[in-house]
Order: sequence, then C-alpha cells, then structure tokens
Amino acid sequence: MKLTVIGLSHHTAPVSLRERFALRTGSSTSEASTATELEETLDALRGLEGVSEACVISTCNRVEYYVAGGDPSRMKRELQVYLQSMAGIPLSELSPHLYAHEGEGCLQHLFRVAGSLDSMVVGEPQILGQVKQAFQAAERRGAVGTKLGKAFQKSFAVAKRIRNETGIAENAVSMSFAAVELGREIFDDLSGKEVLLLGAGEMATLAAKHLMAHGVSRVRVASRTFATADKLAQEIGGQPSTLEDLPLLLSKVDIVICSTAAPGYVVDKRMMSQAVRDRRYRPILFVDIAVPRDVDPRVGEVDNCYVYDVDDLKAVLETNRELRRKEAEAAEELIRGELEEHVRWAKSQEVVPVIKALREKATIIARGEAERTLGHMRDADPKTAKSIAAMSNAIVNKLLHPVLTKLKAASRDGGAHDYVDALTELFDLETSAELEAKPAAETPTNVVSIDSRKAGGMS
Amino acid sequence: MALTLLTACAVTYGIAAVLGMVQLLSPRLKDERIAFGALVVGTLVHLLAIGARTAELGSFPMASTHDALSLFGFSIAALALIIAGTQKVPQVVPLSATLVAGMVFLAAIAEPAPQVPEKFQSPWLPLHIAFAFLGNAAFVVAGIIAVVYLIQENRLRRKKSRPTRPPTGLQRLPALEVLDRTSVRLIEVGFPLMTLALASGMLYAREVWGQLWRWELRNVVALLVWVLFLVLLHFRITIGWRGRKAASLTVVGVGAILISIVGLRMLGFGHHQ
Repeated sequence: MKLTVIGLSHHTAPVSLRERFALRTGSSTSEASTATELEETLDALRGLEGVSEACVISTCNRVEYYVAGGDPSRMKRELQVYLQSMAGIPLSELSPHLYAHEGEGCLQHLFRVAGSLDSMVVGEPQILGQVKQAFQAAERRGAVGTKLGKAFQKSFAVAKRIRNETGIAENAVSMSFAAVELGREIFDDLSGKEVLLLGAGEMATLAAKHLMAHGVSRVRVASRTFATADKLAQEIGGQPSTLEDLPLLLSKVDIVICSTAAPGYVVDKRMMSQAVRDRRYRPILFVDIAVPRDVDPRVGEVDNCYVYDVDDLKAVLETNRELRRKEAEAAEELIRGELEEHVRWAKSQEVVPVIKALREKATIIARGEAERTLGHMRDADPKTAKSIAAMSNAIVNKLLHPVLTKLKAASRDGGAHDYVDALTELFDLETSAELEAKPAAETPTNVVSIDSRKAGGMS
Repeated sequence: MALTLLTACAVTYGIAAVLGMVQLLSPRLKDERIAFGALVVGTLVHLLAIGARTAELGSFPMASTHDALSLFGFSIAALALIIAGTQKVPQVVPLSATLVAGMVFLAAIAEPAPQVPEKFQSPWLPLHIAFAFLGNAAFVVAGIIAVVYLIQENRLRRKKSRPTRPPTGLQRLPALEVLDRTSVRLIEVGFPLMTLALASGMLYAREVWGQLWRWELRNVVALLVWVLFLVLLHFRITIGWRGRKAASLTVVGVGAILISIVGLRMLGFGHHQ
C-alpha cells in the first residue's frame, strides 16, 4: 500500500482554476439526503484502478486528492485523467498547475498542510479543522482505511505539536486581519460602518467578529435560506435576511464578506451599478473569500467598488511573512523529525503481521501438543500440567527468538521484505497484505479472537 | 531686502519639499513633522518678505506678477499648514511645498513692478484679489489632496498595495474617505470665495473699463474653472457623486488655475497691460 497525493493550491494555480475543482461539502446544510459533491468525488476516486482509499481536502486555497493503493505512478496517471475530465481542460494545460507527491513525500506534504506551513497565511489556525473535517467526511463515507487513517491521525498530532512548540500561530494573521486592514485603507473610521456577511462560512464569521472588535457597529447576515442566516445572526448579534434582499443590502452596507457555496456569481456588475447610485457613490469593499468566487471581478470596474478575492488578499497578507519565516523553519525541522520517526515506525510495522502470525501459529501448535500429551497422562496434577504448558511455550520462544530478532533488526534497516516473503511462504502464514487491507475498524476484532483462543487454551 | 527674504523663503520651501518627498518615497524617514516644521519656517520667512515688500512700496503689494505669485504662494502654504495640522493628511506638506517653492522662485526672478497706477485704483481691487487668492488657494489644496486620493485609489485598485518593510510614506496614505472629505470641504470653502472674486472682479472692471466682462483668456479660464466646480458640487450635493472621476476633474480644474495664474502671467497675459 502506497500513499499518493495530487493537488493544486494557491502556490500553483490561480483562483480562476481552483474554483473549477472546489467541492461543496454540504456538511452544515440540510441536504444530507443526497450524496454531496464531496461524497461523489470520494466514490469516484475509489472507483479508479488501483485505488483503495481516498480523502479529499477542498478549501478556498487548495484542492488535494489523497489516495492509498497499489502502484503510485499508476494511481497518479488515473488521478490526472480524472482531474482532466472534471475540469474539462486538456492535461497539457492543467498539469503545470498540479503537484504530486508519493510515499514519504506525500506524508510530508500532509504534515505541512495540516501544520499550516503550506497555507497562504502561514500559521493560520483554520486549516487543521478543515483537514480534520475532510478526513471525517471520508471516514463517514467509508473511504479511508488503515493507511490513510494512520497518516491523517499522525498529521493531526504533528500539527498540534507545531502549534504548541513553535511560535508560528502567534504571528499568524488571517483573512479577518486582511479585511480590517483593507477597511482602514478605505474608511476613516470603522465604527459606524455596516458589514454584510454573504454566506455563513467559518472564515467569514471570524472576519465579522474581528471587524466588530474594531468598532464596526452593525452586522447583517444574508444567506440563501433565512434559517441559516438567522442562526448565524443570533450567534454574532446581527440582522438576518435572504439573498433576495441583496440589492437593497448592497445600497446600505460598507463592507461585504463573501463566503457562499454558490456555484456562480452572487453579485454582478449590473446589480452593483444600480446599487452604487442608491448608496450615493459611497465606497464599498468586497472581501470575497469564496471559491468559486461570489463577486464578479468586473464589479471592481464600478466606481467606488473595491473587490478583493482570495488571491488579492495574498498581497495584503505578505506583510508579516518575514516574521513568520523563522518559526516556519523550526516547524519544518519538527516535521522532518516526526517524519523520520514515522518512517522508522512504519518499517517496523511491516514485520508486525508476520511476527504475530508466526507466534500465533507456533503457540497453537505447542498448546495443542501440550494438551494432547496431558490427555494421555491421567494422573497428572495441576503442577505437572503447568510445567508441561510452560515447557511448550519455552520451546516456541527459544526457537523463534533468533528468527524474530533478525527480522526486527532487518526491518529497522528496511531490508525485511525477503524475510517476510520467505517466512510467509515457508510457514504458510496469513500474509501481511491481507491483514493490512482490512479497514481499521476490524482490527480490534482480530485481536480479540486471538486472545479468546489463548484464554480458551489455558482453561 | 524684500527680494533677499523672498529668495531665502523659496530656498526654505525647497528644503521642506525635498524633506517631504524623501519622507514619501523612503522607508527610513518616518517623521512627518520635519517637513511640516520646514514649511512653517518657510511661511514665516515669507510673511517677513511680504512685510518688507509692503514697507518698500509704501502700500500692500498686489499688482505685478512678482507680487501676485508671492501672495498666491503664501496663501497656498498657509492653507496647507492648516490642513496638515488639523486633518489627517500630512501628505499635503511635500506636494504643496514643491508647488509653492516653484512659485516663489518664479516670483523672485520676475521683475518687481511698481504699484498699481492711479487710474486703476479702486476699492474693489483688494477685495477681488483677496477673494481670488483665497478661493484659488482652497482649490489648489483640494487638488493636491485629490492627487493623493488618486494615488491611494490606484493602489487599492491595483491590489498590490502592500508596503515594503518598513513602509514608505506613499504606502501609508490616509483612508480614501478622509481624502475625499477634506478635498470636498476645501472646494465647498473655495467655491463661494471664487464666486465673490468673480463678482468683485466684474464690479472692478465696470468701474475701471466701463464694462462688466472682458473676453480675455484668463477670465475665460477662471469662468470655466468656476463652472467646473459648480458642476462638481452640484452632483455631490444632489446624487452624492464622488470617487476617481470626481478627483480627476478636481485635478484638471486646479491644473487650469495653475496654468492660468502662473503660466499665463509669466507669458504676459495678465490684466492691466
């Protein structure tokens, strides 16, 4: 089983391309009855040849497809073909914007993403939650097994360490910071200004809270359904409305934070040309963190309308980059250490199923023989029975000890593969691959069954 | 004596202009008060120069190109100081200091003419000159702020607005709203002054030439500028119109004023010739 990731992010692709891949997770809406775009994608990925596990991270800055399965290069090819068909553009145009990692590289990339080192705002805290959500969604869909499961769990632990042990999060500034900074370039004083939250995204909510902390007097929330808007409005103390009121709202508010999941533009040039007259040409700022974008870029051509999408915010956020660089280096070092340790652990894990199977087999034989011997000895007292059982165990242990020592040593150097194959073949063991292919949830039952057999033998 | 003082004043304005420009363009000089201080000194020296010139002439100097440029420059410098001191727009200092330094330099090299001849004297003349200079100075400072507005607007529109570290003065401009508000207030002050200047100018013309209006180039420019600001204010008050185009029009109007007062005068298109 090998890990592979293919993806595109703010480093490699403009928002106009990223928005073609962005998936609606639909986690917070009421459309749970039908499969969400994300779930459909997960199913489609697992349908690809050689792929047995899949997980997709889709945020406004990245879309990444993590898979586990057989031959990495074949999985990569399959994924590329899949992405090409999804985007509807030829691979030759698409591939400059794609990056791919496999095996250790894939793991390292995942650690960097979860640890917020690959973020547009390095150190911003939201990404870990987003990775967790992506993993949980894949888990619910039954798309992840042991391999991806372990990788993601590890990435969460690494991200936590990075946050606690480096200063990276302290200097982190986020989209909300950018919204406030931009607001100050346009408006004299944020107090007395009105903010409109278009859509109820987590980042947008944070930005609204940030703006309120800087004196913004009034927040309005507009969503497709009144219920969603009302819920968020109550949470942050704003006024709810639906998207139908948008033309009226646009003639009133000063700052609009957009984060709807709408597939097309919610605010277009014509709507804004009208609204700008109604608002007596007062300036208005759009901070559009939705992908796909909510605001037609041409709205920026309208007088006194300033439209910033996620990529434009990038420039705003460059400010504190220098400060964070040092902390980022420390975090990278931490990741390297974790990665080395993980690889060592993973290599030792390679021999674990064989060791387990070998021990099990030998123990069953020894116990069986001991019981048979005791069956012939009618006058054997408990003490004798115990001695015979102990002897059989000792023979097994003595016999296996040098074998297992060699095996473990070889696994640390990474050369245990031949031994594993030979032992499996010679002793006719249940192979490691079979064990590993079973989803994580089933592993405990396996362990229990061994224990119960052992317990049964003892009685 | 008056001419020496005026030259010293031009040099001081020049220093204020250079300090202000360095502050705008370099990330190192952060303190805006240095250029402001230089402009204060320049304005005080200017006041002394005007006093000395008054003593030389025996009456307030206002007739020749030399005196007109000097007085107009003084009005702009004084108004710029007031705006920089009271509003959050320190950027008017370098821009107006540059402009005023140029004007006073031209004044210093222009031939100082004697006082207005007897037959052109009228009580309307000092009123007309005072209104015209104050009104035009308000327009010019409004235009300077409109230039800053356009720079800031352009930064926001290009979206590459992030500063170097530390930022230069040009990367720490006031908010658009502040610039817009200050510029429009100055136009609101300048417009009635210019209206009075036109009216008193007409009364003066009737007294001296026997006709209210003469179609000469400088009068036409003044009238057009007056109409331009009338239109700007009209749309601001009725529909709230503002922004990039309004600021550009302000700059165009102020450009016309400067060409009319400085350029045409230097080329000999003045009155009374």
